[in-house]
Amino acid sequence: MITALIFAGGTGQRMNSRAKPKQFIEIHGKPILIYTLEHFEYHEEVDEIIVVCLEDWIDRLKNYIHRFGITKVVDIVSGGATGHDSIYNGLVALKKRAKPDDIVLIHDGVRPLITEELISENIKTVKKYGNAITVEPTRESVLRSMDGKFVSSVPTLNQMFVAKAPQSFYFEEIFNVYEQAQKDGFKSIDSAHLMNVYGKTLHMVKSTKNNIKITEPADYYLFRALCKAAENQQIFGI
Amino acid sequence: MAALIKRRQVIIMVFALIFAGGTGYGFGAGLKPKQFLELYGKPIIIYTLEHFENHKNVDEIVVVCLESHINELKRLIERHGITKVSMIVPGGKTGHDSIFNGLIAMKDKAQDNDIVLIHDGVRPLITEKLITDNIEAVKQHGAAITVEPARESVVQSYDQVKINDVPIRSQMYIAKAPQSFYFKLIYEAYKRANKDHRKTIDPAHLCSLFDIPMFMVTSSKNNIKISVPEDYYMFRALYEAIENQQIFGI
Repeated sequence: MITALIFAGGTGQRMNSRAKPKQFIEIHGKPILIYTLEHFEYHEEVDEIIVVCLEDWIDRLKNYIHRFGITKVVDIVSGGATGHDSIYNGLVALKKRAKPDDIVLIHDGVRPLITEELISENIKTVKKYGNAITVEPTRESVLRSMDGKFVSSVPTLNQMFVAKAPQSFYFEEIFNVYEQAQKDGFKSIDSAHLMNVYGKTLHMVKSTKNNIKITEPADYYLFRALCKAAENQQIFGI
Repeated sequence: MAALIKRRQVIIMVFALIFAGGTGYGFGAGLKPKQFLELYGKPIIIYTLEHFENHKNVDEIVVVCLESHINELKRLIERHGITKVSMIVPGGKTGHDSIFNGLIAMKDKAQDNDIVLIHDGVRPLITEKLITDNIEAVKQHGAAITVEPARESVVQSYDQVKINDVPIRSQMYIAKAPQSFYFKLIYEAYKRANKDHRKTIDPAHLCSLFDIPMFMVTSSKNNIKISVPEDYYMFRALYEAIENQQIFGI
């Protein structure tokens, strides 16, 4: 079985959207989160979706899911204090339904521009290598700084990639690592970071284009512009 | 005359060295080089130049341009009322060579302690404050690199298949532009690289090879580099949003 675990627990502190968390901001009358869910809804290999959601927004999410005809969502779980905790909550909920060798695609609710192809590639790579981390080559130099003031090193550009989502695993492997982190009191930035800390070998999948994460106001404008461009392509073949 | 020479010795000149040498392969063959693509009838390179033109602390602009497009650039500069461009230099084979060409051309006019801000012609969304911050940082530290904190995890892979390392995100930054230096420091570094036959991605990469300390300046927002078609849409969207802010205060 293949499950998509969608993280929609963020509060949108960086978005100026006042009361509305960013995943619920609407573009052309549809919340960003629904754009994201639709990709998994329409993918024939994805069986179920679990959403980790801000507790106060769970009722409204149920409403949207119904209104936009999303049928694969089998569970909605409350988010935790951090992204790390939220994913853990989702995995705990998934534990009740998943077998060890089921595949779970962990994805951000605020990355609405993924593709069918990217989901398929994630699934294929997990089957082949045991896991899949979606990445994009960096187009600008990456720098490391230990003190936040001066540059400490400039790693070779063609070795550097930006981690995106989905990040996909066999259920047993990712669940066990999160369980261990829970015991150790360790919090991670994302699943790739966590798995790396626990010494797991990770495999990369090249992201399809425009797989942006909507976290700041500029990202919202970009998403809207890309939606428009994609719609124009239908007609003009840009 | 003596007074004038004395004055020249005291005052630090600030140069902007703008790289507009790219061919725009990212946009498909047959199209204009991306720095000449227009938004609302104005080429991207002009949007970029205007920020330096309008900054009171910038004295001169040197542009490194595709040789085939130098005449077009001259026409555009005149039409859009850009007055600070003192030289247009033909680009080299790579970005590295182009910047070196620009620095060589500046050699006759720039003093050791003059400041040079190296910027991409296809980064039109910089701000007055970012230019000011770069100049101040050079005065204090000699070398300033505009950066943005990484918003997504950065991973390292030696073979492009497996991930070898996921460094702590809070230590990772993306290098942007301007990248700014005392003239002598950066000119000597490029000369040395030339002698060693080394090519670099950008001045920050070059300085790291020679262990030159670089101070990080936090970029203003939206400092995007227009290199693939989506970036053009992004520029347009951001430009519109910035204009709307004037009225709606978004």
